[in-house]
Amino acid sequence: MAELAPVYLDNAATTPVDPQVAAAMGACLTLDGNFANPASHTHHWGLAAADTVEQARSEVSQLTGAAIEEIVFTSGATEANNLALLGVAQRYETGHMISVATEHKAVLDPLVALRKQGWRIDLLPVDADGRVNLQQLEDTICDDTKLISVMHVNNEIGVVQDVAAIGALARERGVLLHVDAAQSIGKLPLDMHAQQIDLLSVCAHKFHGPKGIGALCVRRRPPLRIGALMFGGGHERGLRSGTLPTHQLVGFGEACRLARATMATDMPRIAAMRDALWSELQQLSGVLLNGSLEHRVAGNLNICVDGVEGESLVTALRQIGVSSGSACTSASLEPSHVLRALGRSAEQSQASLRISFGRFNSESDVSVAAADISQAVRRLRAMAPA
Amino acid sequence: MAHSKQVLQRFNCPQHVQVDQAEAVGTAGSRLAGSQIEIHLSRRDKVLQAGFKAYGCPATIASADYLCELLKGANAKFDELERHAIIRALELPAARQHCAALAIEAMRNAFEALDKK
Repeated sequence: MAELAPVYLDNAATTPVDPQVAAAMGACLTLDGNFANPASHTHHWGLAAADTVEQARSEVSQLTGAAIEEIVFTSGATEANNLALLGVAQRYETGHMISVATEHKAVLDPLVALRKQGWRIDLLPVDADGRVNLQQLEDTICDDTKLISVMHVNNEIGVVQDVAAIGALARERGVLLHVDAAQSIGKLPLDMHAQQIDLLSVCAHKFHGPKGIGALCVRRRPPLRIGALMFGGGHERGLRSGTLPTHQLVGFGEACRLARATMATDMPRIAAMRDALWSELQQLSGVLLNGSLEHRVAGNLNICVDGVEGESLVTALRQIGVSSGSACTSASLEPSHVLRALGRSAEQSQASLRISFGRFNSESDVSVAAADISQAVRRLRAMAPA
Repeated sequence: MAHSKQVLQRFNCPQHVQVDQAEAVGTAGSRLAGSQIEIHLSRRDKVLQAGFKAYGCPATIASADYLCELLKGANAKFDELERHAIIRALELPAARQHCAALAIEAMRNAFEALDKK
């Protein structure tokens, strides 16, 4: 029997570029295309590129609710997060910032850097579902709090935070809100003004756009001034110098356009595949779901599997590509900080799988994944000491 | 981290997983620490029979499997193996060499248990 083609189920790590996105990008690279520097206003090639970039900016605007002039293009969400946190910090000598224990390293690491500069940083715990307690957040805000940074959707467990409620609280207390929306853009409705978000980080590659492009949306009404991290030309209103990559921006814009067109039909289909796989995997004993199922982005399934080691489990999977939460890189394991924040023990956290569906998965992928995971778990459990 | 061809081959198709009751068992490591190996030994006419059970990363499972291959059929006093033999054969990088050491520790505990029989 011919071996089945492997199935990509790691869409939370990155997604394949949509063919329509790739075609749009391909038209911006060569002499017969829209290849020029958008800052070159002395010839028609440059003017055409500038026009294309502004069309892409308009697409990002329509998906995020940010105004055109609020969008600062960056190399991705990591840079956007750094610009938001370090850029706000430049306005003050020191102060207090609040974030969450389950944030991405692209937020946690800049906060560590700020702590070394004298900033006071509080990381809020989450409940067993992975959600922030709003009362605890309110109690943590003090006179010196300058910024709250909360991710919209967690990259490991897919849990959705109530950013609108957090935005209302932050606005009421006069504190800035930064939201890392890398995992929610194109999957959940976003409107930075309706949700009272002051700084919004997004990127293209999590929803079938290219890697290497993102944006920080910076509130303009009333104007919010932050410091720049990159200098050399004053592009993006002085907040991010560097030649704009026309092809990347066109890809980002096209991914936004497609997401707006397909979100309403794609997300329920993707959630149904995720739910079907979870239903199948519950047939195995000792499988736990990490994080809320109710407050969860469509494609994400994150499970702990008892009695097997995480890296071996991922290596034993022959038919699917997924992520694991732990790796045996030394004599001691370092389990995922997100799973530990949920209250999972070190032993439970050792074997976690993140399975993430995307636009190009189909219903038949569910049974391939269920069979592959079940077979691997049974084989490894049979090999383990009692 | 990528594994060597030898590790993947043994991880995917281990030949020496213990299925029956053995005469003596030596254990090293623990599940809580992330890896645990049991080496099972039996003597038949002074010739060793060896098998393993393991919980851990692919290099842990491959180390245990290779060690059992070296032990099987050897003289019952054959307990002089060092972890370097496993490290070389499986091309274990520095970050994985503790897996070979764990297998050796389990083997020594198994020989100790066997000697007491």
